[in-house]
Amino acid sequence: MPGYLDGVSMMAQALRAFQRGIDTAGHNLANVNTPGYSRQRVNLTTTEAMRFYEGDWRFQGQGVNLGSISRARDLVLESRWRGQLGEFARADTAASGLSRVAGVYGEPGSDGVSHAFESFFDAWSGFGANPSDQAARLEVRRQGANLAGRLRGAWFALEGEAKQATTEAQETIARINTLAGQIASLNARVQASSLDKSSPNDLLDQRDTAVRELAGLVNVSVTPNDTGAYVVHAAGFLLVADFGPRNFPSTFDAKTGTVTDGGVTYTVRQGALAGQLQTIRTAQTQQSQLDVLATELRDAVNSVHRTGTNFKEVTNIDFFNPRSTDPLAPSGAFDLALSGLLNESADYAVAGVSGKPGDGALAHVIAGLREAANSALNGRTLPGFYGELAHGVASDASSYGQSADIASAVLDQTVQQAEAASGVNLDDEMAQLVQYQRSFQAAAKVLSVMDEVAQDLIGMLRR
Amino acid sequence: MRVSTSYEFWSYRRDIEAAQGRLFDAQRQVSTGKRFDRAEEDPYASRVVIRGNSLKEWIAQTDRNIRTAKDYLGTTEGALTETLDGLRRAYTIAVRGANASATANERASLAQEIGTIQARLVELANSRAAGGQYVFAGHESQKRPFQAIDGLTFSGDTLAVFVEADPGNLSQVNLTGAPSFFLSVYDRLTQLKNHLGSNDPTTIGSEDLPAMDSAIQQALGLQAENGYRLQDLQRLQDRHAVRTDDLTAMVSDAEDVDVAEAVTQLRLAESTYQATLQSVAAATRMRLMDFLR
Repeated sequence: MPGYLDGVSMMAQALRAFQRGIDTAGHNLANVNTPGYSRQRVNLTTTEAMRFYEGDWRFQGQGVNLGSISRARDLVLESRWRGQLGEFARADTAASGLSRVAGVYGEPGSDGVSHAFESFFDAWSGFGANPSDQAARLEVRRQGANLAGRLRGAWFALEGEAKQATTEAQETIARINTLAGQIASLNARVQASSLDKSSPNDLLDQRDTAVRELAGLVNVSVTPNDTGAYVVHAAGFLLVADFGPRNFPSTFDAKTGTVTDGGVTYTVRQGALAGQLQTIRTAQTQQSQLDVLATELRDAVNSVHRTGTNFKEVTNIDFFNPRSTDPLAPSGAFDLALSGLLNESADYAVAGVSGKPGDGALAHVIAGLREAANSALNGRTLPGFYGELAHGVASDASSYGQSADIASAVLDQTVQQAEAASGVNLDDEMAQLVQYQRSFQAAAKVLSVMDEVAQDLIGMLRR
Repeated sequence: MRVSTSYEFWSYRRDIEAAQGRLFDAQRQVSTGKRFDRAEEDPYASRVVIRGNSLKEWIAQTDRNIRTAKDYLGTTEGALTETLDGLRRAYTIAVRGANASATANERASLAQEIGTIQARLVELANSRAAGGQYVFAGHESQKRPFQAIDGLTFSGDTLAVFVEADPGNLSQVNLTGAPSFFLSVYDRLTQLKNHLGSNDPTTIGSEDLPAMDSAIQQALGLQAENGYRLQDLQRLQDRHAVRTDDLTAMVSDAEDVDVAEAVTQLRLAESTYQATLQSVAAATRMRLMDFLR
């Protein structure tokens, strides 16, 4: 039969359980701003009832027991979050990188390369109309130098963007390795803490946060094993195994969007690293296309210009510097400039075949290159080829921007759902706090009543 | 749906940033008058703007070329008109010289007048445009092409001079037949002068009068050819003005904002921003702990 002290013990246990409830609400409130924190809840269970005989067999309830402290986490949403974050990070990084690449051309505007092309051909048209005019001759040289400078400048700016993206990719890989180390370390601590079947909620949160950050860098797949550890693959590469972390491959190929380790190739599909590789790829493709354009511009203008004679009867003059004859070091946009003679003096600009002051025939031919289809440029004109180049990268940047917006909206929904399950709400916690506070007060009151009953009994005995 | 406090504040921050961004965009559009300033913001419109502006610049260059051409053709026109006047005067002199009643002294005086016309003809054949080019010298445009020493000689050439007067199209601005015309006219005037000096009315009547008439017809032909070219250039210039207006409208449609709409959008963005701030301020004032004692 339950005794008086059983009741006191039961209420003492209740007080401890409610104190845990207050502590847990306090822990939640303290972590309201902690990234990746999942709110925790005390799970109360009734203590096993005491069976006793009092005319018949009966059960007397024995109060409350602290079952566990669990974290609110939806693992399906967590997995979805990782996937969507990877997609968003890829599109957002690529949009930002390609926007910088598109900005290299300064379009649309008076500083754009297209304007330099137009001014160059306009200068030749004006020179054709005034072949003996020194101002027209100077203008041809000025616009030639300007166009060469703009193409050269764009090439080096693209080089800078490719290098910047390469540095960012290397930093991303370093961060992937740091996170792999953190996840492996947390795996070990989780395994150690789980031996007694308890749930190390805060460690689990920290591990999930690290994996989520990793998903923003590269496509990951996470498989929890039966010891509680996470086995993590990044871009298909085993990054965190049971035995610890492995270094993510540091050799990457932007052209194919892959990383290579010991002859095995892994495709990077998501995360900031995928966006960075895309930026490098685009910048390098644009560079090689500018090289093709510059070579065709140089050859087309020079081949006409060389057939002419200037007014000092000098012939066979290149307008732009001739391209390199070294097959191992071919010319491109990066070394496009006026030829040495043109650099020396505008007098070497040639308007006609004969060199006569009224002969502007060659200037007209060069001005006509503006509309001449070029087989090496897939039948495009020189300005047309450039226009498609600049338009292509601007379209790609815009398209990635739209993809990032869509991915952001989708991610937002998932974050909202996950936060609804896991996030701390101040009002919720205040209500929990009040609930446990009142429960604590009630339990204390019961103890007080028990004490009064005991006092009454003792008083009765004294009489 | 349950909303966590951190998501709630993140959401407020995002809403404020979005409202601020819209306000900034609207303000930028109103102050610049442009819908965008980077190609990736609207790649299609940007391409339209680049192509439209390129074509406008090209047309502007051909208009500058037309000014050069008009100077060339205008100088030619002036020279031919004065040459024609001189030839008509020579024809009148020839009529008077062929008249049997004229005396030898009168014919000698008329011969002197022909000499004056010849001297002027040489000056006209060496006419220079404002740019300094000798308009009847072909490609040798910087050398005085006609010299009158023991007859008239020509040291220029008869090659055509072109300008790009319309995008992609060349127009000829010189009269390649003019040098032979001036040489021939000078010779005919010399013959007339000789026949007047030798007091030979019969030859003047039978040869010089038809020759002067023929020279006048040739000059009229050259003047007409030159006039057609001037008219063509004027037509091109008029067409360019219309085309430039069309292109300006096209570029404007692609890149310019509708000011009334942009100002309305700015007002809307201001109101939205204000409402966002007010709603966030109101929502963050309400917390359970404020009601608990």
